[in-house]
Amino acid sequence: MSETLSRHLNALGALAVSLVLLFAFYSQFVDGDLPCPLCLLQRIGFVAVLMGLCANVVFGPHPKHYAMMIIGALIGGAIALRQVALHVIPGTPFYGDAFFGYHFYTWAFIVFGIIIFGSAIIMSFGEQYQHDVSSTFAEQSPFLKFSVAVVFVVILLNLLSTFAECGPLVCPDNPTEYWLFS
Amino acid sequence: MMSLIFLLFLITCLLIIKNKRKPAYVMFAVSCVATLYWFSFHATDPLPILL
Repeated sequence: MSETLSRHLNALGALAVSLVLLFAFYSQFVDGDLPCPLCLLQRIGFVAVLMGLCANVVFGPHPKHYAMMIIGALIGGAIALRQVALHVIPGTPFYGDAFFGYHFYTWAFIVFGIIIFGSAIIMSFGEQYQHDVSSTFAEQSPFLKFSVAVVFVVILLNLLSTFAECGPLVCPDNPTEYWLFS
Repeated sequence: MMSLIFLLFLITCLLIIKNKRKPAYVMFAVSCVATLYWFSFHATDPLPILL
């Protein structure tokens, strides 16, 4: 796998993970499901994965950047597993709506697992590391710039919506309204 | 606090865009530590369930 192909695959991955976060926004703003603290922490796990993907896109592919993705996915997976454990006991109420039979925290755990597996596969192609071509963001192709810009906007939107929901304080366990508008 | 973690990652993203490699790695590490700290805070909440 060439260095250019690797950068483009990472950009595609960044767009795919951004889509996951945008779908969470759809659930939040259209369906009116306010994210709980563990849900927000899972979003942070996806954002951590995005940092590894962006580093591969801008700095060029490097094992360190795949390590960033795997660390982010492990943190996010642990948080998702914690939430699955909270709701797995029979008779315990679930949180949020189901999507294709599973709740979002179960899907999050599955997606983090896929990210770890995918990262392990892609990072094993050694040819992508042979040319240490360090280029600036401005020198990237329009598609690569677009993917990084989408990531930046998605993180910014998450920052704003989380501040609106929780403010500078601790997020409530079962949020029912936005802190900013209460 | 939760929005602070998003802010830390936003700064990491900005550092990547600005091609500041080492500061980006450091900020990523700081963001992950803050996430783990906040996860441990929420994960040790008393559970509102009866067994």
